[in-house]
Amino acid sequence: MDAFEEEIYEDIAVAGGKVLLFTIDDVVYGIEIRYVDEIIGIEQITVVPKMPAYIKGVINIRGQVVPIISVRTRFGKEEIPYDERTCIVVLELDDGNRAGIIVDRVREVLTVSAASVTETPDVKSVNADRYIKHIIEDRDGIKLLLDCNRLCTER
Amino acid sequence: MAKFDQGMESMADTYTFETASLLEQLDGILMQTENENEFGEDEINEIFRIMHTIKGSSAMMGLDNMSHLAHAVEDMFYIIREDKPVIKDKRELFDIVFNASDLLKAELDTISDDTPPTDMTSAIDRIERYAAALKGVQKTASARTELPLSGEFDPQGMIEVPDDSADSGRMTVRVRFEEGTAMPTLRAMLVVRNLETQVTNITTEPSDITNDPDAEEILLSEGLLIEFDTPENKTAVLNGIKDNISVASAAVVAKVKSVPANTLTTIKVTFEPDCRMENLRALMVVNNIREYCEILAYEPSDIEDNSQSAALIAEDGFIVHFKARDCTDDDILRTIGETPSVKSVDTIYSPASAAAAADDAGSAKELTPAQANAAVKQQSHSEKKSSSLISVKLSKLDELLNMVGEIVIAEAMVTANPDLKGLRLDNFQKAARQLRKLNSEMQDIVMSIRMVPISGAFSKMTRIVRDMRVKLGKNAELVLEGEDTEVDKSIIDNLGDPLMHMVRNSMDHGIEDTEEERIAAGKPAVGTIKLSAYSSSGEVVIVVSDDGKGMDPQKLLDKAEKNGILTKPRSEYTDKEAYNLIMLPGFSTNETVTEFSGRGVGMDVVKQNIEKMGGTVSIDSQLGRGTSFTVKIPLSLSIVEGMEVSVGRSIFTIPIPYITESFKLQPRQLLTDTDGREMVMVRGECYPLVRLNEFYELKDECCGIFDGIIILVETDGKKACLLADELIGEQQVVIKPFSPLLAGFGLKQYGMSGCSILGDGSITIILDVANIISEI
Repeated sequence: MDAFEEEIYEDIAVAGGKVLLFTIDDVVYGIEIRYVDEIIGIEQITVVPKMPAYIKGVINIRGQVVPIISVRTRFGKEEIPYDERTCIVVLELDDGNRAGIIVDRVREVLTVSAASVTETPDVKSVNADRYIKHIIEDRDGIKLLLDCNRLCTER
Repeated sequence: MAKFDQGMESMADTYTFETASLLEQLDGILMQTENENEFGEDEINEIFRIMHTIKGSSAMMGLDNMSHLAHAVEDMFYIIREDKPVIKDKRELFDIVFNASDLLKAELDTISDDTPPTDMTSAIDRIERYAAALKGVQKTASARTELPLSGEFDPQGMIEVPDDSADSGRMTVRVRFEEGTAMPTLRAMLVVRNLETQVTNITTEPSDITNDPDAEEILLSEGLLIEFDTPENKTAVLNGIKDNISVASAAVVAKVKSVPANTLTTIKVTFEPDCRMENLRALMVVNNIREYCEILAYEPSDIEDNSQSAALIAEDGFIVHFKARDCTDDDILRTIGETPSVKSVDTIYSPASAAAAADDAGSAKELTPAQANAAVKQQSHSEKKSSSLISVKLSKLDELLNMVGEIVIAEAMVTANPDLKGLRLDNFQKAARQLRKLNSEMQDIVMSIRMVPISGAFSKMTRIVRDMRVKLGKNAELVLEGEDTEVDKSIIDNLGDPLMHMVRNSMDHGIEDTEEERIAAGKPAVGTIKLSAYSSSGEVVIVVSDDGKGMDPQKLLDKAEKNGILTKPRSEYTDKEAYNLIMLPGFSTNETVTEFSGRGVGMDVVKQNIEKMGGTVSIDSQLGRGTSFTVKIPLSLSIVEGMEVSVGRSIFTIPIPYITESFKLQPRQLLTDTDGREMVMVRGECYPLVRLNEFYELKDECCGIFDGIIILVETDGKKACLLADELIGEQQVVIKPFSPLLAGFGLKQYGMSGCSILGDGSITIILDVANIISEI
């Protein structure tokens, strides 16, 4: 097992190799399940003025004010109206802060084996690629595992 | 594994707290005496007492290194106290003691860590060398025997003997010589001669030592009785006598037996259970009341030396007999009640009430109602005093504050519940009002619990200025203003670092390098750094200013350009923006890195820390005149009375203290200046108009300017008109800070100080009027 595999193994193993899959347009993304607090439907978002476009505002989750980030806008994709399948995935990041990300739809929880994970191509220039941690490839196709800490905290 | 002994964990908190406050006290004394360049008797005794306590408690905790260091300092001050050596250059002495105090503080910070104890032998060596040198210059070197280690030095309860304060300068001492001493008359003469250098009006018993044939026998059997007037500290004189050759003991002769016991008030002091070290606490009580007492005695009497007495006091209480001087017994009882850890003070016997009781023959054993009342009052008073001094973990107060915040939200959820809309519920409203009133009182109380004077944070700065004055060779004094201003405890805790950086910056970069430079600029030779604090409309304002060189905006811009941290063309920077550059990470104007500043960290830390507290920093400077940093921090961090206004679909909350009035705009009041900015005319005065929807670039549909509502706000004497759609109502809101994820996007700058959850669960953004005004 080389250094890279070891790192993935650790990453994945922490949550028993479970990854939450969701889609934006037709692309499938994943987030390690250990970061996911809960999944809620879209609700009234309070706009916070003067924020970058991808920060949609804040919502009240049981007394806590949580910022909401649109993954779609973050990846530079065109905005579409929310529908009944739009979801907010509430995450708890490594630094203990909570954030919600808006996704088109949540698919399933996938158990990933280290063998199906490949290294990210070294093309960090593309905006969306900056947030990709690993690429997961299995029978159903390719899933992009996101680095949700960078997704939420990087400017 | 912590540094202190196992089994002492329960004591660690108390120990740390007490030792830290003692060290702070020590620093205060040192700063003061250094300014005066003179140790007074009181200061020396105080330092001695502090070191003695630290030594004892450190030894108890098994912190040998700290105990030894404190012991060395104590020894040194023992020499200073007893021998009164003439110290021409006190600088080294101060350095040594400051150094010791720093070492102790540093060790104290890490006593719970798993690190080996710090080696303090070099510091101890230095102190001992200095002490030895001091001993070399002492006046009465020849007459001294081996200096007793102060740890073992035995005061024999001498100062505690009731005679002590009877008539201020006069004291009587009985000196006993060691058994089998040859030529006691000669020894006695020596004692008297040595005394002559310190005291006046000496009379002895036997009176004619050299010629009286019986003197030798009397001296051996009864000892030598000396009576004299002393201008000096009696303890010091007494110890001086004891240091004579062959003197076995010297004790102040008690006159207490001549005082009828029933003229003394007798009280019993009970300490908090588990407060530990009862004997030292008892000593504190004695020290606190000594100067108010004409006669003072106590049981057990050997509290200072005998640690067994702690158990005795814990069990039976601490008995004090006293006769007040120039004050009433009540005053003394109160003083005792204010001593930390004292649980209660009970009067066992009081001449006044006894006399009254005797007068009242009918009810000999009962006090008159009035007196009983007074006694009860007095007792409850002292109990109240002592219980007001409990220390509480800050985290518990935080929890309490959070809980109160939640209750306020919950109250709003109930009383402003959407289900109640349109219903007429008189009784409900009445109950709701009562609830609101109680809640707001509770908040006030919780907030006031957390308020402490800012002097704690300020006084640390005197030490920093002192250190830098010595190291940089610059002459500057620190002036404190408004140190009584009360702020939330959490602010004090977070203020230390930023204050330190600002003061250092002023000292290092602000004040001119030489006095000549200052005189040439027409300024006093000694620089001034001023720290002032005051509160203004819900904020505490702290200003750090110096009368030094000031800053040159062009130089700052040059430097910033070189470091590549300019974000817009140079010509677009205003002076104020140029000053603010120094708070960017990686900016440092000093060419050379000094011990104190110039590494390019510091001022950015100031900005970060202050913003973390929800505050702002601004810098103003005049070249050649000086620089000032103005820090503004919200006074109470969490609950404000706010007016909710709607703008489109958003709801904003404007803190009520800022609002002057609100009104509908008439067309004739609106005017536009030459730059196209809108102004509102109110009673002959013009104020700038801020359309909140435009200011915040909201895309929602809003009402027109004449349909909406104008809110006139004022802060720091500056006024502006805000345009909103509608006033929704007044509500207490709990400020929740924005998530750190949003903190980097200039929320503060755009006048958003936080958010809050309303009764219906929606979120409102709380506006910071000061920043809105400064932004336009």
